[in-house]
Amino acid sequence: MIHRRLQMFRDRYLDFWGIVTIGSIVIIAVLLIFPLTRLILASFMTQEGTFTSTDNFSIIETYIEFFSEPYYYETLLNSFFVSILATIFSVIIGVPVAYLIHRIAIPGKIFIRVAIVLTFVSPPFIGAYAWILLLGRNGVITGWLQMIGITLPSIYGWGGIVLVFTLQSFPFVFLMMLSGLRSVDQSLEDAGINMGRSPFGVFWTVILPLVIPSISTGALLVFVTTFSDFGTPMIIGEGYRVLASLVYREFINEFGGNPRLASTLSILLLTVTFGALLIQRQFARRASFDQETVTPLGLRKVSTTKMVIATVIVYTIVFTAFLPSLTIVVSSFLESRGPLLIGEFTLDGYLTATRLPAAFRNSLVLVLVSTALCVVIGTLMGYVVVRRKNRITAIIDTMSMTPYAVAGVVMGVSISISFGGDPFFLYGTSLILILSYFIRRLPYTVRSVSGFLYQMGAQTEEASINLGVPPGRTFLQVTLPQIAPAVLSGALLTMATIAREFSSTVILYSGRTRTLPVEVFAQVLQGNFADASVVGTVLIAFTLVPIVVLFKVFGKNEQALL
Amino acid sequence: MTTDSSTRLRIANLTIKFPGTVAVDNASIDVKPGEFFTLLGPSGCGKTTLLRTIAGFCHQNEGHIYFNDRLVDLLPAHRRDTGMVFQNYAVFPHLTVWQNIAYGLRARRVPKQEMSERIKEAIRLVDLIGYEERKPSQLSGGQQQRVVVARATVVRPQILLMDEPLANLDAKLRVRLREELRELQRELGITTIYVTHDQEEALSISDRIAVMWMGKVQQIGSPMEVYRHPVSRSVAEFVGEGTFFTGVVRHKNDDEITVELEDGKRLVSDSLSGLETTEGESVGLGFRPQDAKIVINPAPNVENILTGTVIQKMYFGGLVRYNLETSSGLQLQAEEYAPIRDGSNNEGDTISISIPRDRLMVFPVGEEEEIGQ
Repeated sequence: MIHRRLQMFRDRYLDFWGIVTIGSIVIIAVLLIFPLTRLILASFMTQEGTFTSTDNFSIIETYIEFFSEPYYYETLLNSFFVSILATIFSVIIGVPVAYLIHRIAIPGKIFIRVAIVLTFVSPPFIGAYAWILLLGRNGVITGWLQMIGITLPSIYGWGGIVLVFTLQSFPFVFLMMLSGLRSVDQSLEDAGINMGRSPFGVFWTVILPLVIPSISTGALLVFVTTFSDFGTPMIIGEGYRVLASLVYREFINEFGGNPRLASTLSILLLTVTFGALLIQRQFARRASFDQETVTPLGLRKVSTTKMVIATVIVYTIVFTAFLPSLTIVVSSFLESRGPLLIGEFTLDGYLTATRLPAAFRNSLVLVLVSTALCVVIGTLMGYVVVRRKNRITAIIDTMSMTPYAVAGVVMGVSISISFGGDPFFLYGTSLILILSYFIRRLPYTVRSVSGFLYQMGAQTEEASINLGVPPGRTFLQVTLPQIAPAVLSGALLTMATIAREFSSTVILYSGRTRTLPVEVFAQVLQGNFADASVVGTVLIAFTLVPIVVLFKVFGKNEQALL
Repeated sequence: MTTDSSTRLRIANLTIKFPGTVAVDNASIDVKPGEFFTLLGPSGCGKTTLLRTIAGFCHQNEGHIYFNDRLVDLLPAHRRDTGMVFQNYAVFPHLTVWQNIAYGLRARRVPKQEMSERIKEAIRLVDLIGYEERKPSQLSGGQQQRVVVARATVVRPQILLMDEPLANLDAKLRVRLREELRELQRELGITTIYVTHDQEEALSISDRIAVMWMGKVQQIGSPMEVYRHPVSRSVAEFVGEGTFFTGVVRHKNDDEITVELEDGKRLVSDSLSGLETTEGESVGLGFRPQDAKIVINPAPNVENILTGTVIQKMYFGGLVRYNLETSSGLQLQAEEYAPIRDGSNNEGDTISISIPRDRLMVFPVGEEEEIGQ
């Protein structure tokens, strides 16, 4: 009896957060579960929207088609090939660079940080097109080398894709490795050396095993992002087809497209990225150790020779990675003549890029609206995940994996087939883009808020309630002021990521809703490199602003980008 | 000081379950108005859960809680009118000292003039004059805890709840602050429930103590009662050090009991405190190291003499601790205060100790579970 009354009371007591919980689950159901379900169903449905399975037509027809036609299944193999290569190279580059930067007093670390941040904020395919400007058929470096009689192997094809993927993605491994190194205690290295191992031996036998889980997380991020990227392969691949670009081509097809096949391909892509995520989680859980870090690994004194070698290695790699962004920015200020850029400074590019203002306006509005939605709803969701634990909030918590598991292109296709047509008819509207940005980036805010709340503990909130302030007002007066820095820095990061969001946009945009990344892509595909550089530079600046604020005002470093 | 306005706290048959465990098992406690009452027990014994349930942060599955005669089971936490002091301070980091202390008064809509006076008074009581405009980050741990004490007491709660408030402070500050807390509590006369796992702290500041273990209230009594007359070995071991062993009852009447040890030696105790046992039954025995007196050449007819070889001798300045082993293998601990015969009893020597019959603790066996310290 008393128990029931208690229960009834608690139900009333949970009012506000109860509504938040219910609202959250509705949002997740409508914007995440429903579209993904539609996607799965669409891969089994005929054009007429029925599930038929006759002697001639199987319900898994498109799946059979995919695995029996080399034209299709080759893309899967190609995707694995370039993504695995890019992952391996990213580890080979990212691990030593992070270690050298962490342990050796390399001069000018600020430049390295800036370069890595720039690599990170530029949209994924910008590297591809910059490398074409440099090493392509009419490339600047190609030209120089031809003058002295050297012919480089072609940048087009899988080699170029791997190059661009690697240089674009190794910062994932680099940043994860850095954060791994920060949790290794100096005393462990000292103990290893004390027992007679060389510093290099200690690295292999003690430090590396401890940071393996971090490296594997970085490697996963490289694999998943490159596997889902189709901008780069379309620009530099020249006929080298990967799974993600096939999804795009099948869905956005001048002759109407094939939603069923595109859905099937999306499901396959989703399976691979989700599988990779599960495997990595399993691996990292088994390979990780509880560490207590009192004094993190510090700088090591090395001889001048070693210092010079380390500096050269680090600068070469970082400069190479930075080169695409630099190329875009520099070429945006050069005069253009046809597809060629010549070396005279001009601002004409900015004045003649006719579609720049509209794209900028679109990006600005979409970014601000979706970020605001992410922040408000994500904060409330993050709160219920931590402070109102129950079966429903556990689902919200699980959702925080989706941005890694569900690639932008898959999200775009699923949102498009769910809301684009009957009965919502949102195709081509700003709303459909906002919905897609919102659901894809929402988990980041949820995760950063919930992580912060876990750390903060519930005690100050309890103290407030204990002093007579009801839960709702306690949230406003005590919780919000404390989590504000985390919420705001999360918002800035969300702004930067949404601003460079490309793969779902390119599925969902229309003439009226072209954003900066879509504009760059369109210009590149049309061979209009001058306009592409101009819009690309604006885009880099656009994404850089929130990042700079994040670093300067909130004292964050590049670790926050992960 | 017990004022008429102080609140009596009554906990009746309270059971609190968490998935898989019973955190508090049928606890009944009656705290007098103005009393300083301590819940003492090892971590995980349910004492904090019980405290949080009084505050309204946890909910009992069975039983009732009364403030005076008012049933508060259904009262939400923010309307319970308790003042809570947390182990990790829980001082609001974004508010100044003054704003922290004003927080609860604002919620109670205390008039400005009165609010200001009460805050000033609270700041004076906890000795923080001059710190009003500081942010918590500019305060030491001890100062932060004073802010929290002021914040919890300034609203004049019906009951003050303290959850290991001194656990995060260093040893010297801990002793000083607990004396201050005790003084403040006397001055304000607020009924106080204090949670700690530190037996010395509990013994030194409480009016009464409830020793808890595995969710059950084992014993309620004054500090001296639980120290001198523990109802079980687990309570005895938790509230202080000692030597514990078993024997068989050979003789018992209302005033005294004679117990025979394994080696046939007989010990007498008159420290019975309601022990129910009959001749022939096994009982647990124990004594505190400081209650054992070292005797030289005891007369053969003196009672409660145990003789053993010094295994280890430790010098602590004010006292010397001996670990002895008897011929039957029993390990004994004895302490000698203000040792005057330094050097006379060394490791390997044979010495005798006598245990006054009122200091020999007797309790029923079956309570032999090891209690974690």
